[in-house]
Formats: sequence, C-alpha cells, structure tokens
Amino acid sequence: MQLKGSYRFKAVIDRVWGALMNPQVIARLLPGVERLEPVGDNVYEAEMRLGIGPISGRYKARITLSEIDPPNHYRIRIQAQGPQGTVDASGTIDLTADDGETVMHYEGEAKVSGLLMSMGARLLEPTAQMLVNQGLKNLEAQLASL
Amino acid sequence: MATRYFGVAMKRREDPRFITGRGTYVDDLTLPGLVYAAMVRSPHAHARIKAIHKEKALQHPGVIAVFTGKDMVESGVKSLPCGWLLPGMKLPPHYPMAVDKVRHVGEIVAVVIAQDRYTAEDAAELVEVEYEPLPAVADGAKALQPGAPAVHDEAPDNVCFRWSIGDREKTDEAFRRAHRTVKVELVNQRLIPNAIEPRAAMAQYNPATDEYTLWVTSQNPHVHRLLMAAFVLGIPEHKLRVISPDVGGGFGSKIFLYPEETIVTWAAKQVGRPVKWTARRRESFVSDAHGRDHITEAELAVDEKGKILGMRVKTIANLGAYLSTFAPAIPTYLYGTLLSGQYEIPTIYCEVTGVFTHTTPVDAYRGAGRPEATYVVERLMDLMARELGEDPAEFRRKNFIPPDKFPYQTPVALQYDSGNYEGALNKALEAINYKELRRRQEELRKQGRYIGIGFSCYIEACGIAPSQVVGSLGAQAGLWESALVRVHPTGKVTVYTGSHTHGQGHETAFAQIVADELGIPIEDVEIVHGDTGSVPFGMGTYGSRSAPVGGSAIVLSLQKIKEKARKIAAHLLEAAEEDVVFEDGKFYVKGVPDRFKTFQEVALQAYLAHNYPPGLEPGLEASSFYDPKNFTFPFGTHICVVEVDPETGKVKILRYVAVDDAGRIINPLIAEGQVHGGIAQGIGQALLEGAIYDENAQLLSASLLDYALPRADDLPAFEIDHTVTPCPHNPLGVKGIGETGTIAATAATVNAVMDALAPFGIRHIDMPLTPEKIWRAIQAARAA
Repeated sequence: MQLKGSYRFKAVIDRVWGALMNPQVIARLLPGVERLEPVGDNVYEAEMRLGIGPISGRYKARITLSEIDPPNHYRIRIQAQGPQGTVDASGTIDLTADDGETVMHYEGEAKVSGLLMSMGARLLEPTAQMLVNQGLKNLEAQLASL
Repeated sequence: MATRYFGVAMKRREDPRFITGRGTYVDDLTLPGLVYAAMVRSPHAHARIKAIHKEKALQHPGVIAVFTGKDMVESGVKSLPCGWLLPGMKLPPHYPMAVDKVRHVGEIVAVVIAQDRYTAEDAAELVEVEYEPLPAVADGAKALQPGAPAVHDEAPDNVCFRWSIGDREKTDEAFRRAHRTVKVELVNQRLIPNAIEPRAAMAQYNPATDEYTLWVTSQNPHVHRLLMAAFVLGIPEHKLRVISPDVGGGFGSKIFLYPEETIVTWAAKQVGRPVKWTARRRESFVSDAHGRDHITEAELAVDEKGKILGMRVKTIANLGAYLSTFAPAIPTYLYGTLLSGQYEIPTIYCEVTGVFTHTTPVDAYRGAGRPEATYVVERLMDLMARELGEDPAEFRRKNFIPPDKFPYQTPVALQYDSGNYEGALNKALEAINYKELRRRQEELRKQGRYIGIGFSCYIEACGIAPSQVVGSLGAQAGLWESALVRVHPTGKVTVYTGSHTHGQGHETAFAQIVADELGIPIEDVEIVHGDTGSVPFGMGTYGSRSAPVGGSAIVLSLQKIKEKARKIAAHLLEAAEEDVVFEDGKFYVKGVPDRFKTFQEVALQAYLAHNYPPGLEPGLEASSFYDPKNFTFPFGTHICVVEVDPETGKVKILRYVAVDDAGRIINPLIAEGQVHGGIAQGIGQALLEGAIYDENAQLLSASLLDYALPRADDLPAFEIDHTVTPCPHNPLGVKGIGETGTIAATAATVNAVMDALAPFGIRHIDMPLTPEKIWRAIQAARAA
C-alpha cells in the first residue's frame, strides 16, 4: 500500500518542524494513539487502537525517526503488531518554506499482514488516506492554537 | 426380480432431519467437562518465530492451557503424512503447529484451551508471538524463478516434483508434421471450497481405558484414524475411535488429515478434558485445503483433415506451503491421465512441475485434477475449431473415439471401458436446438447483441482403482471399499458402509439397492456410516466412488447373505438348495411359488437355529471388500449459452443443457441434485470465484465479502438429461455422478463467453470472467 500527498500549512517552516518533532504532537497526529513514550533517541513506543470495520484491535507500535535534516526532512517508520495483523510502514516528510507558509510533501509505503489485510484490503488505502488527512488537519489546528 | 426401488426418484430419507434442524453435526455435540480450543494463526506468509509468550493468555481467567508447536514436537508428535508419493518428490515435514517458521498466512502457531469458546478466542489474542518476517512468494511461476524465497530448505528451488506422462519424442514429431497448431496459456485459478459446515473436531481421552474418541468432519473417518494414530500421534489404532456424524458438505476439503483435529486429540489427553474446536468462516478461508491453481501452456496439432495429431501440455501446479494428504496425486495422476478427453489423440505429452509457495496447501476439490484437464482439452478444442473455421460441435464429433473402439487405450495410461460420445452430443444438440440457435446468434450479432454457445464434451475417471494399480502409481493405500450387511432376527437390515455421506444421499440410494436385492421394504433398511467403532475399515467418499465402489461392496455382501439364506430356506422347505429360487423377498421351490418362506422367516431361523441345516453357522451377516477392476468413465456433453453485454462486460447465462452418462442411475432425484450443485460450482469458477494473494502472499479474498460464490440469481434453470451406458465391470453398472457438473461446466461456460466475444477477435481471457476483465478485453480489441 502506498500513500503520497502534500499539504499546505499556514505557518512558517520552523513552527511546523518544531511540531513534527514534538512527541506529544506526533501522538495526536497518528491515528488512535493511546500512549506514546520515548524509549531512546528519536525512538518511541506507542499503543494504538486501529480498526477497519470489524477488524479492530490494540496495536503495540515502535516509531522511529531517522534521516533527520532540520527543518526540511525526516523519515518515520512505524512497526505495529496486534492480534489482527501487523503493519510495517515507512515514509518521508519533506518541508519547503513558501512565502511565509510551509508546504509538506509526504510519501510512504506500508506492508500490512494478517486479518487486517485479508479482510480489510479494499478499505485499507482509503482508510489510511482518510487518517492521514485527519492527522494533518489536527496538526493545522494545533499550529493555529499554539 | 422386479425392480421396485432402483431407478426411482425417491425423496431422500435423510432430508426430514436436516430440514427440521435435527441433524447432528460435530459442533452440535457436547460432553461433560467440555473445553474449547482457539487457534493462534500466523498473520505472516513467511516468518521466523523468535519467541512465543504464553503468560498473558495463561493469566486470563478461564484459560486452561496454551500449547505451541514446540510443546507438541517435544511430546513426540510427528509430521502429518502425505498419502501419495511420487518418485524424487520432496517431502518436508508438516507439523500440526509451526515449530520454527511459519510458511503461510493462517498457519497455527499456538492453541489456547479455555472453559468456553469466547474466553478461548479472547485469550488467543493475548498470545504474543515475536516474528521476524521473511520474503514470501504466492505465485507458482514466480516461485520457480531464480532468487525466489525458498519455502523449505529441503527444496531450495521450490520444486516438489517434476512429473511427466506420455511420449515426448512422438508428440514433438506430431507437431513437426502438423498442418495446423494452436497454443494457449491458461490459468486455472485457485479456488476456496466453502462447505456450508465449517470443519470441526471434538476429542475425548479416557485415562481409565487409554482410549480416545474423536468426532470430526471427515469424508473418510478410517483414513483419519489410520493417519493420525499410526503416523502422527502414535496412538495404537484400536485405541482411537473416529466418528464423523452428519457432515455438511465436503467437496474434497474434508478428506485430509488437518492440524486442528490432531491438535484437539493430543490436547484432550494433556488437559484431561474433552476439547472442541469449530472453524470460524475466516479460519476456513486460510486453513481448508484450496483447489486447482495451475498455470498451463497447452498446444494442439491437427492434420489437413482436421484430425488431431497430438497434444502438448506444460503445467505449473501450485501445491501451497505443505503437502496436504493427497496433494501430489491431483495435478498428476488425476490430471495428466485425463488429457485425452473424449478424443482419439495419437500422442500426448504432459509435464507437471509441483511447486511450493507461501500459501495455504492445495489438494482435491470437487473434480480434483479432472476439471483442470477438461478445461485444457475443451479450450484447445474450441480454439482449434475457430482456427480451422469449423463448427465446434462438428470438430469434436470428427475427433471422438467411436463407440466400436472400446475398450480404448489412451496414450496417457487410462483404458476407457465404454463410451458413446456422439449419443450424448446429439442429445444435447437436439435439446438446445443447435442449428436454430446458431442462426439466431448471427441475427442478434447484426443487432449488436453477443450470444455465445459453449461446449464441454468431458470424460471423467472415478472410483479410482484398482488398488494394485494405484499402489504402483504412488498411492499409500488401496482404493477398495467395505460393506457389512447385518440381518437382524426379524429380517430388518443394518448396512455398515465404508463410504461416507456428506450430502450424497447414501442413506436413501444405498437402501434402495438393499431393499431391491432382498425384496424387503426400504423402511426395513438402515444405512450406518462414519464410525470406526462400528463400520469395518473403509476408504470413505471422494472421487465419485461411493456408488461404483461402495455400492458394489454392498452388493457383494448381499449376494453372500442370499446364498446363506437360500441354504437355510432349502432346509426349511426340505428341498435341494439348487432348486430354491428367491424372488420378491420369498424363497420357494422352482415351480411351486405358493409354498414359500419369507426372507424374514429365514432370518429368524438363522438366529433361532432350532431347525437348521447341519454344519451351517447360525446368524445372518456378511462383510465384503470390493476392489474395482478399473476406473469408471462417466462422460457427457454440456452446452452453455450466454449473452455478453458489450457495454458492461456482464455475462448472463441464458441456457444450460447437461447430458450426462453416469451409467445406471440409482436415484434420478439425487443424481439431478448432484449435477445441479456441480454445475453451480463449475460456473462459479468460470465467472466469479478466485483466491487472490498479494505480492506479500497475503490472502486478500479471505471472506465471503471478497470471495464471490455463485448465488441463485447468477444461474439459469438447468436442463438436465442422461444417456445410459452401463459400466461393464461393476455389479450395478453405475459410474458416479458427484463431480460431472464441476468437471464440465467451467469449460462450457468459458467457451460460451469466448464464442460470444469472437466478433471482437478475442481469443482467451483467464477466469474468473468478471465484467471488468471482459469489458477491458473488449476495449482493447476495439482500440486495436
């Protein structure tokens, strides 16, 4: 499964970057995060509640940030395992300053296995895209309120 | 003797109990102290198991035990065996639960036993398995490419076996001097069986007697007992009783020894409580053996007159991750041997590569090899007819084996004992009003409507036999059948058959045979099956073998009963045995029919033995083991008529005519039901069904939401008829009808759609022929 897109934030690049490096913001950005704790440099452990239709469950996830190039680029990898399957997603986030605002390009790929895939495959991509859009809107709102 | 029941379309005696909900299936059974098993299954197609943490599941209230593959192997449990071996075949171990690696989605890694099913299922989610995912391959052809991930260390190139049949040089030579040849690549897609009753097993262990009882959804309980006791769990065979009560459909998927029943039997002793497991539908999708999955390159060569010179076939057969019980036999001896179809083909060469992939194991599914062969043959016949500009019916007719050439030795091992292929073709052509239909097709084409007519002139080989021959081909068992006929003192009869009914209606059809032979009312006959505790060792039901093999065994026992009863009757009538005749349930001296002894009177004397022939043993029962002399060869012609909507690609079946020859028909109503179900499944493959794996070998079509089974509104009213060419070598003249529909319908339907699409120049589309695929093919053809 692949995801790709861009988003324009009405905020300067440093503020967007700062938010994207803040674990509390990440926790609210990612779908269904119930707990997120740093366990090392740019490594976090999270508990997420994920579901597609009837296939829902609590997932243990490891989130790793790498290729960190402030304030322009990082790679995020999410490895989640739960009773209904596993998700191994990796993607990049690129920020560009544009006239006092910030344009984000994101691109990622996820390997999904188990019931999550076999029962939910047809819904997976639209659901993931919806969650990303939701997350980005949340981020926008947070940036505005910060 | 006047026939009273044989050939009569009686309603099935078992149906009142089924339609009033009084059937007894494994899941209906319960026992004091029963506990429930839930399987923890791999989400990965291929992964190393780094660790399994049971603690959280064990702490869950109501959980009794959690076991892993390691626990089973350490207690001495062996690999599930494979019942058919080919020369040079790789046979990697297949433990009931994965030990170090998982090799397909749905493979069991642990079992949770709990006091109720809900607790077991909940706790199964608490078992934490650490996996190291590895690359996986689902496609048979991709698995053969260099660098493909290996499923087993024992087969680094993923090749399980390479098998061939026929004469390669002679066939190559035939192609060299051919007037015309056609070639096609065909995918016979993977199917998922979906019996209406999911698999289930309940096991009990009695420490006082050291005896086990297993209730299981099995088409062949004795085979289950033998394989499980002798090969896997090391239980003495006489200490394991296997009962397969009412079973709601099998289609092959309930032949095999599976991990789940093995696990519950073993676990019942470990926990000291009876244990039950019933598959959820989504477990069935990943754990019931799948069917088909061939990738084939097929060629046909003809001479100037359009007579076939030879056929060449190369097939990659996807076997899945492990060898299921009869897996190697299906794409070889049940496939390559059928490639002659109904035709005189001087030479055939077929090679098959059996391949391991990271998918659910593949084994027999209704038709098992024969639908795949028929699809190859009948697609080739249509493509060649089109290539030559000949009518597909006449091209077939010209190449039929004529009736005076039987017994006919094919170039692929089988010897057909009988057949009248033109008879069935003519009857089908007449039923469909062929000439008029072709005229109408032309007319409608001018109006932009696309009607297609598809043929399938199929041959089937069923009642796989004789034992000596199948043994020489790699079967690890004989393929005979048993029957014990017990006449009670009042003349009532119980028949213990080694066949197993799971939809076939044996309780009615077999009773019809018995009632006729003994001249007694059918109400006096009881058919018992499916219990190793009461039935003599039997081979069970698959491959349309029950009537020709199981039925024949019953006839042999009835003959023994009648011989003995005649001796008793002669004594009672004070006559010489050879002067006593038996007719309509009465023994009398030839020419004196008024002075008689009824079958019931004789039966009573057999048990009282007060007035009895000296030297004769009391009692009246007989058992027999019938080993057939040959396969039986049902055949027929199916014609499918479709209309394709060129704007949407949707196929509508307008008519479906089936003329089958299954020899003598015991019960036409049951036979018709079998044909209906078979055609529905065959059309399902042609138009709707297909197991889809993604590039990571994840099964995407894993529920009834995504796997399209045919529904009533997908199917027309079938028009069914028969010709009768009795089997010459079994006592009933029967051949078997359980699989004819599935074998014929797929090719007939696809041929019909391709005929409809002929004006577009479309030659072939792989199944299932969904509207999208057809629409795209039409768009591509229009663009070209």
